[in-house]
Amino acid sequence: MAGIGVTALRPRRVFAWRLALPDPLAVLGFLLLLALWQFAHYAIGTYFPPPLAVAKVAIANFAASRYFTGLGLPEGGYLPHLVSTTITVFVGVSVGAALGTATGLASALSRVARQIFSPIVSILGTVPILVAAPFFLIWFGLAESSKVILVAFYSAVVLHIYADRAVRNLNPRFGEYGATLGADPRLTFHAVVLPAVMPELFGGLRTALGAGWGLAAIAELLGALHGVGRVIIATWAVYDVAAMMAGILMLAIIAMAVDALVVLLRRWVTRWADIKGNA
Amino acid sequence: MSGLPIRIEHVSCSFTHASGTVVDALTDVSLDIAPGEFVCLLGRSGHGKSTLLRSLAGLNPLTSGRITVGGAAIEGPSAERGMVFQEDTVFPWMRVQENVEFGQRAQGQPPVKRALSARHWISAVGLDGFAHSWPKELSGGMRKRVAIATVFASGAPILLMDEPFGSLDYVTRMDLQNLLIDLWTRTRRTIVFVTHDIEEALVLAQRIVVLDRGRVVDDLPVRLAQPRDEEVRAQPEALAITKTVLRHLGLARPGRPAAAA
Repeated sequence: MAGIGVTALRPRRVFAWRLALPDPLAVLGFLLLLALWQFAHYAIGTYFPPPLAVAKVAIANFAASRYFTGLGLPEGGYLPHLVSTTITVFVGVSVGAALGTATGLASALSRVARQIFSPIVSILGTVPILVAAPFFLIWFGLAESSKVILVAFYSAVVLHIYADRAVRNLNPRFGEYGATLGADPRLTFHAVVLPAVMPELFGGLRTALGAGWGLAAIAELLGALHGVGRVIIATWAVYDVAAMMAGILMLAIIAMAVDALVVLLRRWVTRWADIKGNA
Repeated sequence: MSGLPIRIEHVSCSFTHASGTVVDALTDVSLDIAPGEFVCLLGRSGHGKSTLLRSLAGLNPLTSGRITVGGAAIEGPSAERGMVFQEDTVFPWMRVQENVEFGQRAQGQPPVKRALSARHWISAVGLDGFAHSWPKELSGGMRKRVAIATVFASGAPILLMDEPFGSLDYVTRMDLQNLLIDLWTRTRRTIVFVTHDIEEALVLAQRIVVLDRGRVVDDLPVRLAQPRDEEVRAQPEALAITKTVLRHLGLARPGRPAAAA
């Protein structure tokens, strides 16, 4: 029980250590971004407010803002808009990812399903998402549903492609090995196929989430009652760049936090996989 | 679950390549394997060994002929015929114990029973203390031990092994050969083992079936005492088998007629 056995049996400690320390390069990158931002302010001037000014606007108007109501925005400062955009992304990505994963897995496992879904996804996948957005607004109105559907639509296409590809890249030996041990298709699906495609599904989920924030904000720019995009449009009308940037900044912070949580979840779910595929 | 004779009757199998050429992987192969036998299928690579083994597993459709196990024609893979592949097929997303339990889980055994059985087989292959390890934490040889424990734990009376030790280093391979012989001696399961290595066949087999271009060209009993160490393998009978096999593989030196086996 010496040497390789002992070190190999303690992945847990490595795991905890990786969580406790932020990546020094990431910290450096963040500081560099702030420096560049400050520098851009000196170079461009008033219409590129420095980080501190943007932070001040964000804090002053965070949960209540007379200024915002003066611009025709609802009561409550940034908060209800951040909540609205976040809910849009959560609901849109969840519904879309679930749908896309289901159709993607079905396509990879069944010829009939492939013949049904493949042409639909090919056509929908080629529709530029920004071109689709105005149609959703016309069909579903300015209500929250339009932007949720837009995010869900995109997430479904992404997850369909990831899930389908993951199953088809799966080594067929795993299924054969399972079959010679007596596994029926149901057990093979949930004990072999599903865990095997988890790393890829998380990749798709992160792609969908990453794009989801932008798509939700764009849908809100085009027309919505709530959402960070609505704030940006309203403050744009009065050339308040600091307020616009504050909205984007806070949305970016939420997006990064959510992504970090997804990465944590992925690390746990795919803890069996090699570290290199798990960073 | 023991005592299922295998009967291979006039089995042929041809594949059509993407280019349109038809390849006869197996031509009119007939073979009977008795319960509890340890048979090695030996031959050059690409001469039908793996095709025959995969056909036995039910993973490969036949062009003609039939294979019966215990009198019943096989239709696809089944838990009565467990397989160990050359590739690493231990499920990386399951800990060692879950892997070894998988066959019994597939057959609907209660958790307590299969956990006990898994413990037994994990110990039997020398992996005590690794039940809760992930496969990625084990070496290639240890993962092969997991695969062997899994097929034995599944209770399959017939075990099919497709060059399982092909990718391992010499010492690890010898360790696993000894382990396999030991498990076979204790359980007397039927083992059909594909190899291209004459020495490996001499160490393991009771019977060596030589395949050449998809046909069975020889069927040699190996009546050597176990364990088959290098001294046993240097006995005249062992050398005669080696020479016969080399001749079938087209490797016999001219001018030295092979001893009649």
